[in-house]
Formats: sequence, C-alpha cells, structure tokens
Amino acid sequence: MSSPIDENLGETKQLVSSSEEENIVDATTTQNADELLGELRRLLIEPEQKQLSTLTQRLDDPEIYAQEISNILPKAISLSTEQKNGLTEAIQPSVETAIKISVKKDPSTLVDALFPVMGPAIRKAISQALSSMLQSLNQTLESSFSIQGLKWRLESIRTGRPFAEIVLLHTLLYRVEQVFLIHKETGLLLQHLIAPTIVAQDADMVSGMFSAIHDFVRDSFGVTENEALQELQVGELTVWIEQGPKAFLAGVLRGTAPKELRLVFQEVLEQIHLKYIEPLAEFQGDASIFEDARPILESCLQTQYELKSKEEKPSPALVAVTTVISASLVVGFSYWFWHYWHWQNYLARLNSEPGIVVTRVGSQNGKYFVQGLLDPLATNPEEIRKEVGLNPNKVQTSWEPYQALQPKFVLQRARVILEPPQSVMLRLENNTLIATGTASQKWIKETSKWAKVIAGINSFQADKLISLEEKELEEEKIFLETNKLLFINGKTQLVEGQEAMLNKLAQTLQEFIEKADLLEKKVNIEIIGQTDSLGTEQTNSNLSKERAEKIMSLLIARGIKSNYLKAKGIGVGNALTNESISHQNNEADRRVTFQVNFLN
Amino acid sequence: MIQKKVCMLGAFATGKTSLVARFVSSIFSEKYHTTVGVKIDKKVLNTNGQDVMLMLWDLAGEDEFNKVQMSYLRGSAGYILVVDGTRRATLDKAFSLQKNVENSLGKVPFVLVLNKCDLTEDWEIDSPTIDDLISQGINVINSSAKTGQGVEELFLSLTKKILGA
Repeated sequence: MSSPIDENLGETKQLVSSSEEENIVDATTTQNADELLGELRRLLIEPEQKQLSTLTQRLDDPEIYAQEISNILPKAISLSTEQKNGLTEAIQPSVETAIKISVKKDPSTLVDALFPVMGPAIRKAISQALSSMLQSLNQTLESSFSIQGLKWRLESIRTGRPFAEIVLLHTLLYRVEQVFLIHKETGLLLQHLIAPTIVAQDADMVSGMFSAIHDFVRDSFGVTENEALQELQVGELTVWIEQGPKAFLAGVLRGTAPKELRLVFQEVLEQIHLKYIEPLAEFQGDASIFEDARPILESCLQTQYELKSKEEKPSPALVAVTTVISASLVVGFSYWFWHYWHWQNYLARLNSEPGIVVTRVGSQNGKYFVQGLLDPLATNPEEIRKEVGLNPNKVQTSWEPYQALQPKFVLQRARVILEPPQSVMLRLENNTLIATGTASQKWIKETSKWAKVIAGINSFQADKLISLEEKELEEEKIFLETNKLLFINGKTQLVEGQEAMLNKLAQTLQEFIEKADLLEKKVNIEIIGQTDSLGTEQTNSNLSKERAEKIMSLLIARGIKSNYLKAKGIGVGNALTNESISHQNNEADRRVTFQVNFLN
Repeated sequence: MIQKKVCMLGAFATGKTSLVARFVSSIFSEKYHTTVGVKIDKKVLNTNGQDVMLMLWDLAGEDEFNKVQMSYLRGSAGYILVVDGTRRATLDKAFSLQKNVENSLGKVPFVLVLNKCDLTEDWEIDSPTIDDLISQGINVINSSAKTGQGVEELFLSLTKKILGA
C-alpha cells in the first residue's frame, strides 16, 4: 500500500520528465526548472518533511524518546500482562538482578519496602504454627487423664515414642504423610514432600518401586492405562496413586481420608501437567526444574484430627448402659469396701489383742482367711468378729494354741492352775509369783512345788502368806484357854449343861492337835483343876486334881490322845474374879481350864 | 542432580545383583539369591565433574520359565547386559535380550559385561568371540563382582555413554 508522499513523488517525477522533454534545447532554463522543482517539492511534501523531522528528532533525542515511552509503558505492561505474552518471564531476570543489586547496595531499602509485608506474613506464619502446636497440646492434655490416655501412655512406654505423638496418631482421622511426584516413563522422582515429624525411607528408591509395582500390576493384569493401580494398602498406611499423562502422584496416607482428597490430588496433578508440560515431555533426569512445583504439591499434605463436638450427645442406650455399669460398679465397690473395712477392723482388733498372734492373712475363693496363735486365756476371736460385725461366712480362721508370756496371762494362768483360795492375793513381779493373804498349809506347800512349772514364773514367794492352819491353831488355843468347865460344889461332877461345853472343847482340842501335828508343832495341853475357897486347902487341892483328871479321862474317852494331856490341880488357885473373892461360894471358881503350851 | 535409570539385564545367575551390590555397597556374598521381579538401588557417581544419580533396576534373570518384563525397561537411559563368562549360553541370551530391548526402547547406550572373570580357568568365551564383539562396536568389559574388578569401570563407562548420547 503506497503512502501519499510516494504518490506526490510519482507525480513530481512525471512533471520533471515532461519538463525535460520540452526544454532539452534550452539549457538556460535548467536552473529555473530546478528552482521550480524545489518549489514544487516544498509545496507538495513540506508538511510530511516537517513531520519526519520531528519524528527523527524525537527518536534521536534520548530524553524525548524516554519521555515518550514513559507515557505509554504502563499501559503497554498492563496489556502485556493481560495477554500473557511472556513479558513476566522476560523481565524476571532483570528484576532479580535489580533486586540483588539493590540489596547489595543498601539492604535497608528493601527491608523498609518489605517491612509492611513481612510483618503480617511472619505473624501469620507464627500464628499458624502456634495454632497447630495448641491443637497438638490440646489433644495431648485431653488425653492425659483419661483411661484411654493411660492406655496410650503405656503404648508410649512400650514403643518408646513420645506420648504426644501417640495421642496424635490415635486422634488422627487422616494425614497425608508423603507426596511423590514421579515421572511416568522413567519412574524417576521429580519431587518429594514429607509432613513434619515423619521419618521417610529413601524417596528415590521408593519412587522406583512405586513405578515398578505400577508396571507389574499393569502388565500382569493386562489393564489399560486408565485402569492402572490406584491404591495400595500397607498396614496402617494407604498409598493413593493418581495417574497423569506424563507423571503420576503417589500420596502416602495414614488413617481414612475422604474421597474429596482424591479431587485435590487430581487438581494438583492437572496443575503440574499444565505448568510443566514441556519439561515433563522432555525430561532427561534433571528434576531441579520441578522445585517450583513444591507449593502446588503442598496442598496435598493435609492432616485432619478428630474433633470433639461439645454439642454431641451420647445415645440413650449408651447412657443407660453406662449408668447401669457405673451403678453396679458403685454398689459393688461399696459392698466390697464395707467388707474390706470390717475385715481391716477385725485384723486391727486381733493384732492389738494380747494372747493373739496373727501369722497369715489373705483372701481365697471369695473369703478372707486368718491364721495365727491363740492363748486359751485370750479373748475369743469369735467375740471380736461379732463385735466388729464381720460376716462369719466371709472369714475362715485357723488358730494354733500357745501360751502368751505377758504378765496378765501368766498371772491368769497361775490362778487357773494353782486355784488359790479366795483369801489369797497373787501378783507377779519380775517373773516372781508373790502370794499374800491366808492359805492352807497344804496349798502353800503344793504351790511352792508347782508354781515354777508354769511358763513365765521363775520363783514363788510365800513369806507374806499367813498359814490358815496357824491362824486357826491360834484361834483354837484362845478358845481352849478362855473356856472352862464348871463343877458342882465339892464334887467332880459337871454342872448340868456343861456336857455340851465338854464336847465342844474336846472337838476343838482334837482339831487343834491335828493342826499342830500338821504344822509339826509339839504341843502340850495342861488340864488345870480348881476349887472355890470353901473347904480346906488339902481338900481343895485334891478335889481340883480330881476334877482335872476327871476331865482328862473324859477327853481321852472322846478320842484325845493322852500324851498330849496333862492334868493338874491347883486348889483354890488364883481367883478369877473379884466376885470369887467376895463370895467364897462362887460357882465360877469350881472349874477346869486349859493351858496350851507349844513345845517347839 | 541429574538422574538416570539403568537396567541390569541378563540370563539367570550371571551376577547382576552381585554387581549392583558390589557397586553400591562394596560387598559380595557367595550365597546365591535369585531375584524375584525387580530390585531397585541407587548410586551417585561423578563423571567429568558432574554428579549423576543412577537408579539401578536389577531385573530378574531370564530363563526358560521367566521372561524379562519389558515394561520395566521403559524410560531407561541405558542398560547393562550381564554375561556369565563361564557359560557360553548366557552370551546368546544377552544377544537375544539386546534385540528385544532395541525393539522396545530403540537404540539406547548399553555395556556388555563378561562377569566372573575371576574364574578364567572355567571360561567358555574365547578371545576371538570377544574381539568379534568389540569389532561390532559393542562396549565389552570384563568384571568380577567377587574381586571388584571392572565394576566401577562398567558403570562409569555406561554413564559416560549415556551423558554423551
């Protein structure tokens, strides 16, 4: 397409041609023709010349040219960005270089510029990290004091893994632990992402094996490309495989992930194919170009923990079952505790009781049992059981007899064995049995012999014990010496009614002699006859002796051995009463009395 | 770092797994363990100042019962044909395999390894045969997984061929 200038120049050339033909012979007109031509040119192309001159000046002058470009550059960049014609990629090296130079020159400029951006970004990152940490902490705390928590704590001890990790594993719904981007043709690893705290094997080799398994399955089962391996299950782990034309994505999951996650995998794979279509097609083993794909792949690393809804209400059946179980547990525990409390009381009482030694306790076949030693004199354990209210069907006892050596039991045992009379008091001091009071000579003798045989008694002390026989001997002596037999005046015949006294005296005398023999005491009883003052002295002397002999014979007749008796008359003797002196005919003076003499 | 997939091919019991074990872990065991399917290993080596990670696919040896699964070869940058020098038949098997690989992958770099060169008294492949192979342009390397002879060399040689291809 020709411009108006070209057309004018054409017309000018045509005019020049005709003018030359007309003036070929007239050379003088040539100069005029040139002037005319110049004038014609000026008239015809002067505006365009001026425009050309201006344009040239604008292009040649850098300042003007820069000014011109600056006017259109913003709009040009905007249009280029909208049209995605590669301007961003084109200016990227320059921008990076500019940034590097700027940082090198003065880092504070970039710092100042980025400060408003970096501050919120850092805060957001910290907030997310704290949120994640708090979630982990909450899960750990919630699980720390429950039965489930104790179970997990045991698992932590058993496996040697941190408790928090065990909690998170059990409260985990699902977690994508690793993501592999694998080149489909070669099986080589393009990118590998791993979740925090996960320990992974060699990703390159895992990638190769995924690829090999994929090939093996496809070949073995003759499936088409679309029907290739999509999922692997290994223990608690699942491997999801998403196929693309040039690469496939393998995600290693723990737990049960929702199917929606598949869509995420598919979208990621599509994005990668869109962005890296050429590098994937021309891949020669250099995976560094796929480093930029990491942010895209990170969207696959998802984790979802079990969230406890506060509004969630348990089912009525569960509540009922739980209530019944809880009530049963409470009743059962109360019943058990009631028995246990009584059992402990029983044991405490047995242990504190003298004469009972508990050697073995326990429970067997739903019953408590207690074994031990029991002094026959101790409190009956059955009484103790009744006192504490322990069910007899709940306890079995087995007691072996033994002798306790506590003073209480030694003394009690001594009383049982020695059978002291009521007049005797026994006490124990330093294993010596001390008896006080009165006792028969026989008992004292027997006790002296047997007391030391009793366990816990080393000696018997009886020096403060009064012999009963001696006491009675003394009393009988007094009886014999204070009573008298009265006679009829001038005769050896007893006054009427004195027969009973005679018999009484004879009986006492007999007992006295027997006791004296028992006490190994030699005795002699003088039977002393007396008269009143009437009559002569000789008569009275004879009468008094006759009276004594008379009584002696009467006593012998009543069984008293004669060798213990001695009769003598003392005549009037010494008057016993004033009455006898004043009244010479006093019956009381006509008497026989007794004088008891101990010979050793 | 650049990665390359390399396959180990050959008849059964030629020493493919032993060569990989010697190359990767510097170990050798007299015990024979037959490879089921494929085993994958890796080794980084440096050639001309460049680090290369070889992903070694040790394929089960081929015999009358088991054929090499050709899909495993897909994407290989090169392969190693392992021949047991004490068994002439394994060389024929190597040629057969090489033909199949070329049909599947096209022309890719490979090295032919005459393994078990520590047992030369039992050798069944004579020098003219080897010379003939070399004259055909085949890269032939003698190796022994037991002594380590030629092992590094064969992998290095193949890597250079792959990078130069």
